[in-house]
Amino acid sequence: MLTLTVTITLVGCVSYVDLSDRAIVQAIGIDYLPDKKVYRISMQYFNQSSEGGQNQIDKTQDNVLKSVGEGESIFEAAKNASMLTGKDLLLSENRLIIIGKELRKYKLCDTLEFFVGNYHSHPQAYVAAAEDTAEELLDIRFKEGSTSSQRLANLIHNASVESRNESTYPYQVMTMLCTSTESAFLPLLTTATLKTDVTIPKETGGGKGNGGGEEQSEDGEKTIILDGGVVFKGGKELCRVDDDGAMAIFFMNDTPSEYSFTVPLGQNAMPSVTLIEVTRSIKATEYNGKVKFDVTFSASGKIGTKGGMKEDDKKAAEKVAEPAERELKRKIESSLIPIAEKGCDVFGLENTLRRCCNRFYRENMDRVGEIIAESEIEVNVNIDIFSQGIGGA
Amino acid sequence: MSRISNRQLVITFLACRLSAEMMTPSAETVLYGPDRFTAIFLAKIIAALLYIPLILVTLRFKGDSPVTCAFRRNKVFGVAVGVILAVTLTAAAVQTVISVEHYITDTLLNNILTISGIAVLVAVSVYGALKGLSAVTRSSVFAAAVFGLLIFLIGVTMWDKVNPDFIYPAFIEDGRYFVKCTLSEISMNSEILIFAVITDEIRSKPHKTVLYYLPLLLVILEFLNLLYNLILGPYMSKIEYPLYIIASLSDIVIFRRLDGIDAIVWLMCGIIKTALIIYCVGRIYSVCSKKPDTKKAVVVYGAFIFMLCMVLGSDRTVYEQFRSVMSGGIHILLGGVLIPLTVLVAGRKKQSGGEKK
Amino acid sequence: MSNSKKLPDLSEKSVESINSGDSRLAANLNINCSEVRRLMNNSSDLIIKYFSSDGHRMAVITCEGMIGKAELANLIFRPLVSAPPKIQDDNEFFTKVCSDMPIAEEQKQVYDYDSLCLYIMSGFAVLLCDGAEFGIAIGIQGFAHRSIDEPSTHINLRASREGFIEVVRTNVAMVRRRMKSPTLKTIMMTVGERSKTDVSVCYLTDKADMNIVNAVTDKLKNIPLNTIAGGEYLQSFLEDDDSVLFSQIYATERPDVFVSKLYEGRVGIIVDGTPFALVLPCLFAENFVTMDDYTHKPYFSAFLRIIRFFAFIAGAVLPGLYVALCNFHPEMFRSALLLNIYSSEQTTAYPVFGECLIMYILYEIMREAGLRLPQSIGHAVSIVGGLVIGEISVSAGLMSAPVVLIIAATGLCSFAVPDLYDSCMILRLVFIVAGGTFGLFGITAVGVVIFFRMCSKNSYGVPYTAPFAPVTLKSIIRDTFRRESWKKLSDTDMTVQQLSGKAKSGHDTERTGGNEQDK
Repeated sequence: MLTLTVTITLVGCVSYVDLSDRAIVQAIGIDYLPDKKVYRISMQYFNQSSEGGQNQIDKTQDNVLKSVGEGESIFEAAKNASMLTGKDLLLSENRLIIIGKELRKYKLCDTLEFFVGNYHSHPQAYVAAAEDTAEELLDIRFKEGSTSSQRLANLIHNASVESRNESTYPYQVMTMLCTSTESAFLPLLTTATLKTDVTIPKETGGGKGNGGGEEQSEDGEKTIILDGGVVFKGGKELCRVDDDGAMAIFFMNDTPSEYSFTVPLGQNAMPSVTLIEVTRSIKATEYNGKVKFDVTFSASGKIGTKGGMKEDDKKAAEKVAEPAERELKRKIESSLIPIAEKGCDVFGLENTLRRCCNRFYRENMDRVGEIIAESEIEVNVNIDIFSQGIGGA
Repeated sequence: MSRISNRQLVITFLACRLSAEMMTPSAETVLYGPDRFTAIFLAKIIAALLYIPLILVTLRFKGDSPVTCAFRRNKVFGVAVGVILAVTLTAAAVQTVISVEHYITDTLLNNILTISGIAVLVAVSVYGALKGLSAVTRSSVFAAAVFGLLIFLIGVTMWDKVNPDFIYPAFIEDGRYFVKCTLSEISMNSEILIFAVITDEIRSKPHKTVLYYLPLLLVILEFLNLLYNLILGPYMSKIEYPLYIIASLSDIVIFRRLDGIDAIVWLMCGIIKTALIIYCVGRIYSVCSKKPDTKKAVVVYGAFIFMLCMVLGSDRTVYEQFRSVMSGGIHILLGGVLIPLTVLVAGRKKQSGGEKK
Repeated sequence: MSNSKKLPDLSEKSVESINSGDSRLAANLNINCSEVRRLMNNSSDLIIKYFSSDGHRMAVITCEGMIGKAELANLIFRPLVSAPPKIQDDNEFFTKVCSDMPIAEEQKQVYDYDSLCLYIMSGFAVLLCDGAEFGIAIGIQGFAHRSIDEPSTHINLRASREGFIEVVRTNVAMVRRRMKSPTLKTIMMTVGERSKTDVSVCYLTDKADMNIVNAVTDKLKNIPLNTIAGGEYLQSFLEDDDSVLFSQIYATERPDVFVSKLYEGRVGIIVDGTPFALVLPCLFAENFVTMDDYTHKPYFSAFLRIIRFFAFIAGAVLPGLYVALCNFHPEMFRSALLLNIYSSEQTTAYPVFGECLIMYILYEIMREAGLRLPQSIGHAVSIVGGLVIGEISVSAGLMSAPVVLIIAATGLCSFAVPDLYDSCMILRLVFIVAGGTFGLFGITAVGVVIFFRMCSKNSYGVPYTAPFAPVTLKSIIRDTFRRESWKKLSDTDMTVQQLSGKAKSGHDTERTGGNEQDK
C-alpha cells in the first residue's frame, strides 16, 4: 500500500510521451547548405496506416512519410523537422544515416555526435554517404519490407555479408575516427536508373499514395545502389573509392566470411573463385625510422564456375590458384597503397603499429599519418583451392 | 542481531563495488590502452594493504568492529570514531545516490525530476536499511544473478564483434593517466568503510571476506576492462558508460538491446550499496547510544542524505567538484585506515564480549 | 465474519461464568442431565435418552446427527441390556461397565460438566448412571462428512488422487497410513475459546527441530480467537510477521505432499473443519514444486520448474514491463513488434497505462465472477469474457490487441503457480503502476523493495528465500531448479534446518508439548 501510495503521488514527476505521439524515424539524411549556411535534415518516419483496418500495417500504403527541417545546428534542424511532424522523434528505429556531399567537407565526428550522444538512438543504424544530397535518396521509396528504409539498410547489410563493403555503425565509425589520422570509411549510396519495382509518389513528402497515384519514370525506374565508398581523413572527405577499394577496406578491418571474385585467365576464360575462411595477419616492422607493413591473407577457396576453362577438373585448381592470388593481391594493393600514401589510415595500420612497435609508436604519436604515408606495404595472398566446383573431386 | 556469512558479504561488496565502477568513474579514467589493466592490478594490491589495519583489529579483538572496540575503550573515543566513520559513510552514500541519479537520467529517464529520482532511491534504500543487514545482503544475490545473466548474454551476442587487434602487449604508456587511474580505483573502495562497521555482524572469520573479495574483484574488473577494449577499442575513451554501450549493441531474440537490463543491474546494486551504508550509520548510532532500536535514527539519517543529495546533486558542476574531492580517496584513508590504526594503538588487549557462535 | 473478543452481552469471561461454580458431576442422574441441558441452553439438538440396565437408571446424551445410530444401538444399548451379573452399587456397576465392557476404542471417564459438554459437541455419546459421579464418553462419531476425494487444488497427473477432508482424525489416519514410522508424532490440541476446534500438530521426532515444534504449540495455545472456522484463521498467528505478499506457511490438500514435507523436518498442522493442512516453515521456492515433479523424469521436471518460475515472473512483471517499454523505453522492442504496437495504439481511446489498468480490473472481475457463479451459469462468463471483452473491445477501438494479449497471457501465467496467485495479482498491479509512472526505474525500485521484504523474512528461523539467498549450492543443485534423479536423492537426506542462514528460534528448552488429549 505504501508503494502504491508513493508511486501514485509521484505521478506527474516524470513526463512521458505516449507511443502514439512519437514519430518513429526510419532514415535520416543530413545535408549542409553552404549558401544558407544551415543544416538540412530530411527524414523518413513511419506512416501508421489508419486504413486496412484492425491495427495492421497496410502494404498498399506508402509506409513512410517525409519531414524536413533546417537549422544552424544538426540538433536545431532535427527539432524543426520534429515540429513539422507534430510528434516527438524516436531515433531507436532509425536504420540509416546518410551524410550529404557538402557536409562531408566538415568533421564527421561532429555530425555523428548527435547520434552517439543520444543513448536511445539505434546503435546499429548504418551510416552511409550520398553521392549528392541525402534528401534526393530519401525521396525514393520502396514498398518491400516493413518500411522503405529497410531496403537501403539491406543493401549495406548484404554487401557486408558478401565482404564487399563495410557495415558502418556509428560506434564503428567513431572508433575509426579515434585514430591519430581521424580516418574513416563510409559506403556510398547513389541513384541509378534500373528496372525495379520502385514507384515515385506524386508529391515530395509522401502522403498516402493510392494505386493510381504512383508515377513511373519514362526513362526507367530510379533506384539506389551501393557504389564503393568514401574515405575520410582528418574527419573530412578525402577521396572516393570504387568497389575494389571498399572490398580492400573490408578485408583489412573485418573478417570476411565469404568473398567471390572473377579471375581473368585470358583466352576467354573467366573462372570465379569463392573464398571462405579468410584470415588476416598484419605485422609491422620498423627499421631506421621507416615502417614496413606485411599484410598476409590466407584463405581456402573453391571454384564456383569454370567460366570457359577447358582444363579438366583436376588441373583447373592448379591453374586458377596462382592467378587468383595475383588478382586478389592486385585488388587490395591498388586501393590500399594509394590511400595509405595519402596518410589515411582506414586499414587499422595505426593499431598494428601500436601493437608491434609500441615504443616507436609512442615516440612518434604525433606523426602517425606521415609514418603511414612513408611506409612500405607488402601484400601477400595465399589461396588454397580445395574444391573444383561441379563435378570436381 | 542477525549474523551474515562472509560469502554473503563478498557478493554484496562485489555488487557495491561494481556499481561504483559503472556509474561513478569519469571519462578521464576509463581510457583505451593497457594502462588501466596495470592500474587495476596495482590498485587491488594497494587496497589489500589498506585492509590490513582492519583485519588486525578483527583478529585482535575477536571480530569486533573498530567502533565497538573504541566505544568499549572509552565512550568519548567511541563516539568520535563513530562520528568520523559516519561522515565518511555519508560522503560515500551521497556520491552513490547522485551518481545513480545521474546514470538514470542519462540512460533510462531523460526528463525525470532530480527530486523524484533521489527521493525514490533514498526511500527504497531506507526501507532496505530498516529491513536489516540480512535483507540487504541476501538481495545482493539476486543482483549478482542478473549481472551474471547480463554478462552471459553480452558474451553470447557480442563475441563476433570482438577485435583482438585492439589488445597489445604493454603495461604503462602514459604515466600521468596511470597514476590518475590507480588513484581513482583506490578511491572507489568505499566497502572498506562498510567493513569497518559491520565486522561484528559477520558470523565467523571476518578477515576471510577480504581474502575472497579482492581477488574476485580483480578478476571481474580486469575481465570487464578487457571486454571494453576488445569491443569498443579506442572509442571507449570517448564514452561515459562503456558497459551500457556494449549492452545496447547486444541483440537477443526477445529484446533488441540489453541496455535496459544493464541499467537495472546497476540501479539494484546502487540501491543495495546505499541501503548498506544507511544501515551502517544506524549501527554506529546503536553502538554509541546503546539503543538497539535504530528505526528512527535510520529514517532521520535517510532524510538527511536526501537533503544533502538535493543540495549537491542539483548542479552538475558542484557535484563534479565533490566527486573530484572524493576521487582523492581521503574518505578511504580516514575511515578505512586511520581509524582502525588508531583503535589498534589505543585499544587494550582484552577479550571482548563478542564471542562468535 | 468477526471474531471480536468482547460481545455486548456475552464476553468470554461471562462464558466462563456460565461454567463456573461447582462443575463436577453429581451422583444424581436427574441433576446431571438437568445441568447438561441448562449448560447447553436447552438446545434442540441435544438428545437425552433414559434407560435402565440391570435395574440401574442410566442415560445417554448425544447431539443429534453427530453420532452413528447403528453404533449407538449395537455398542451401547444392546450390550447394556445384557449387563454383567447383578451389582447392587450404582457406582460399582458403572465402574464395571467402564472397565470390563470396552464399548468403543475411544472411551474416557468424564468428571466435570465442561469436558462432558465438549465431548457431546464433539460427537461422543456420553453415558451417565444414577449414583455414579462420573460419565463415560464413548467415541462413536457418525456425523456426515465428505468422502475422500481428489483434491480440488494441486491437481497432479501421476500422483495420488486422495485429498484431505474436513475431519481431522481421518486426515491424521491418511498421514499415518503414508508414514508407518513410530517417529511420526501427533499432538492433539483444541484451539478457539468457543469453537474448541481440534488441531493436530504432526512432526517426525528425529527430523523436526524441537524449537520449531515448541514455538508452534506455544503459538497455538495462545491464539486469542474465539472461533476457528478453518486453518486460514491460524495462519496469521503462526507466521513470524504478518506478510501482505507471501505467506510463510504452506497449505496443502494433499496427504502425500504433507508427508513429504514432514520428512524434510517441517511441522504440519491439521485443522478440523478444513481440508487444507498447514506446513511450516515454508520457503518461497516451494511454491514452484509439485508432486508431479517427483513422478516425471528429472529433465522434464527441471523444465517444468523453470517454466513455473518464468510464469510467475511473467505474470507479475509482464504488464508493467509492457507499459514501461511503451511509454519510456520503446527502443527495446524489436522493430516489427514496435511498428505493430505503434499502429494498434493509434486507434485506441486510452493510453497504454490506462488500457492495462482497465483490462486488469476487467479480467479480475471476470475471474471472480466465474468463481462465484453456479456452474450452469459459469459457462456464460467465458463467452462474455472472450467475446465481449476480448474481441469487441479491440474492434471497437477501446483496447489494443497487444494489451488484451498481455493481460490474458499473464492471467494464464499466474494460474501456473496457483499458490502464489494472490501475490501475483497484487504485484501485477503494483508493477503496472510503477512501470507507468517511472518506467524501468520504477519497476526496478519496486522489485528491489520486494526483494528486501522477501529477504528479510525468516520462517521459523529459516530464511524465506533459501536456498537462493543465502546460497546453498547443494540444495539448489539437488532439488530447486532441477531435481536430481531418485538414485542421487536417496543417497543424502536434507532437512530444512540444513539450509544456510538457519538461526535458532527463541525457544531454548526442549519441550515435547505433551499429549493434551487423546480423544
